[in-house]
Amino acid sequence: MVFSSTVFLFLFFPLVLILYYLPPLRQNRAYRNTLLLVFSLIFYAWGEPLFVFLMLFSILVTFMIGLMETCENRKTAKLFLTAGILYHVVILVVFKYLSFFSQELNRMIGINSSRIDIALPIGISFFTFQMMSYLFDVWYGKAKVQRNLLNLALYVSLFPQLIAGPIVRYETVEMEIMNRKESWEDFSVGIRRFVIGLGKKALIADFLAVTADNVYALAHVGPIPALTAWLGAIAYMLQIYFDFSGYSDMAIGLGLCFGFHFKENFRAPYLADSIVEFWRRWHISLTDWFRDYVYIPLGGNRCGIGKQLRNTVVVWLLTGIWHGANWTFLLWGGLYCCVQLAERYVYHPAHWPKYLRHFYTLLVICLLWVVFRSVSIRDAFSYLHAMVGGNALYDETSLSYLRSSAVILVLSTVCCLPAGSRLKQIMVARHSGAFVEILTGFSLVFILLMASVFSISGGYSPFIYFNF
Amino acid sequence: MKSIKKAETFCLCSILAGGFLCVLLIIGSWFCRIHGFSNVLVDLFSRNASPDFGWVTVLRGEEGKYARPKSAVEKYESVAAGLKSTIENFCTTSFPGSGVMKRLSDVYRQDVMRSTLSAVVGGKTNQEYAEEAFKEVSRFSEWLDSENIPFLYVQFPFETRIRSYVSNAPYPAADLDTWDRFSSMMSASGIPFLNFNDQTVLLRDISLDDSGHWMSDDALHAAAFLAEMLNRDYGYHFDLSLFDISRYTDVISSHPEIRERIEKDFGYTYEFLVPVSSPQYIVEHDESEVVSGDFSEVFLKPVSAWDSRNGSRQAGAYHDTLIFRNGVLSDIHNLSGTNHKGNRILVLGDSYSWPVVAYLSQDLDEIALLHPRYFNGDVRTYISHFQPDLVVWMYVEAQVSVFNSETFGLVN
Repeated sequence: MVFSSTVFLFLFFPLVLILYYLPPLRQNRAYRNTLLLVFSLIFYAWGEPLFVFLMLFSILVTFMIGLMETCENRKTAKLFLTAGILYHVVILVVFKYLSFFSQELNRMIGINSSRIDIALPIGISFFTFQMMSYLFDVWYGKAKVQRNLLNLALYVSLFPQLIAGPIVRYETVEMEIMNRKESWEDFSVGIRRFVIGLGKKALIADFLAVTADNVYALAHVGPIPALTAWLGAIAYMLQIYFDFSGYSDMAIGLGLCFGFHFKENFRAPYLADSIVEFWRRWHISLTDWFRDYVYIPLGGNRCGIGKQLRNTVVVWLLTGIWHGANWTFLLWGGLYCCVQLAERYVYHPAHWPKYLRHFYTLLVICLLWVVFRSVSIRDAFSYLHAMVGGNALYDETSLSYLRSSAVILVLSTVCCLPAGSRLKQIMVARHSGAFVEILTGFSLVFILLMASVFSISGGYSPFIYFNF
Repeated sequence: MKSIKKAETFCLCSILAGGFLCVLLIIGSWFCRIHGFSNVLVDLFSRNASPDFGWVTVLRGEEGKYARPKSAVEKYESVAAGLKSTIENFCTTSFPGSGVMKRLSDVYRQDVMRSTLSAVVGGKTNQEYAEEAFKEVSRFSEWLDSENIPFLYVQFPFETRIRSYVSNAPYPAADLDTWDRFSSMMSASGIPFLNFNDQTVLLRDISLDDSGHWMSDDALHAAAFLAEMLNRDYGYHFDLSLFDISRYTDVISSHPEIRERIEKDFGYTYEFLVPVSSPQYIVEHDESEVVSGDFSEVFLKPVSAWDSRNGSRQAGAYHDTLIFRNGVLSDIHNLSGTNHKGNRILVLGDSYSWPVVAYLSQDLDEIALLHPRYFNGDVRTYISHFQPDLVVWMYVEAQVSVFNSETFGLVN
């Protein structure tokens, strides 16, 4: 089930809200938590009727390991922590990477044996990382062990953030599981945020996807001219932002509707003027996770230059491979590592004019998204080759794609900027705040109506990060 | 300001509540309709509601005599999938005013966003689609070999390829590439493969309705070609004169009002050829509906039932006018004398193969047509029951992208 589907918008979400805020039972925290848990499991089982049991089993293992970590003997506790982390890593490797490994092994050895083909459970990377973060937080004493299995299950499976993040750290929601206060203010902000995210997904990302998918499919088949390649690359760069940040907005908004306050996952990443800053603004929950649970435990910055380099390389390779089982993701992570190390130790463009810094950052990001999106390293290089004019500069198809995507590219570029808040400031200065609020309200109603129209009349459009 | 925000929140929640109410009304109306209660409101909300109660079938064990025995896990998955599709059906197909919404979304897409590209379906690469399809066909062919049943794969070209030859209109290169890769694999495999794309004579004769579907004279031409091949390579004895176009008449021209309506709705003249002199048939659709009579009586619906898709104009005259009568499984018995006493052919096909099968049936004792994509049972179980002399897989190449073990139920 995706947030932009009619089943979610017009059945699941309203039903959960009605039952959650049902007058006789709304004061009962246990009822509300149980309700959220049941519906979260239904939400996950909707797409994964079998793998929901895998998730439940993993929750049970995590719960038991968490209890064991509190034992007096630190050595034993550490053993349990190791076992727990190992369990989650093995689950991730088996379901996400084993098929890839078997395929590559067959290719390297040159045998034609039957390939291992294991289905990838949706959102496994997210909920596995959340469970690992729980185990780490309990071990480091950042959070108290959860002695109620249902509460832990709720933390892991909470439907707003289950499938595509943000990766919610246990310490963030520990108190809110039992002691949150739902308020009209939060609900209002939450619904607004949800609608904004829905608009980003249904009205922008899905349109960009058409151009991006068409161009990449064309590139896979044969050579494409430079203009087509750039159109596709820019379309994908914008698509992945609006798709993912839209989903995060929806997740944060939904969390607020139920009294949970998740941390921001994006902060206008395409405004960054260096790669280092870009990764402080993009998928913040993931970079924080790797920083706190991999980089810092390895020594972080508090060691010799050699170890710092090692730690950075490890984190980036893991970041790359977390996104998927393909050499392109590893290459993507590796290239970001190189760029970041170059910025940190070789040359930082801090002294460049601001526009040049932005241009350089966006250029690097755009080129590396090409590697990320391509199905193979060969495809990635031939696409990059096309971008630098290695084939023709343009043809009829390029102009046709340009005509078909000009409006959406301009609109989405504008929407990447904090144009909305700037416009609001200007309008508040010129008109009354009430007028601006009314206008905002109408805009949101329009966005929700249009997204609903597309949902009812359109087809299935899953989120990109769904597959991670 | 607070009151404005409250009003905004109230409006947004009202839209979601409105949708929720619609869904409840759709479900309620459907229950009313099946229990015989009907009024304007019930009709409005239940018009297109057609839930899939596959989960009930599985729960009750009523999966039909061709069902493959399922393990407990598979039964659970069937129940879950059936429940999911039932609820999704209620939430997606029946919203009142969905036609208006479609037009609104088209206005936004085409007039506001100027977006004229169509979406690429699915997330796999062309090679992956082609390989998966080829794997399915290979497995099926191997199984037929083990059962000593000859197999022939026939591929019909799709609209976009034809347009690329006929009118040089832009075509989706990605789709053609998938179909070409699949065809190359089939040609190299040794599986008997008739690819109508290679038949340039056939290509030049092709004309289209606006869904890219063949006109019936193309189907007749394809049937003639196929009959000739079956005679040459499979020991059949088709009377090829049966496929001479001079022996056919256009049934649509007998109904000028329908002809006019098709011209108005689709912008072209539509014909459907039926033989002037026809054998007598008994045809069993889905092992429940039995029809007997001549060609027109068994293969075409009564004229009063033509154009019964409530104004849909998306799939072209062939599909939307719904002239052709067929089930998921249609077993055709020719009661007049044929050159093929005791012969029976099983065709696994889609709408491209229906008229071809009808034309071939004029000189076959028995031919059955099964649409695997909608068949609830197991294809191999049915074949074991039907015991055909020849199995022909007769699909339009656009379906290659959806060949997988789920589509055809060809799981182990």
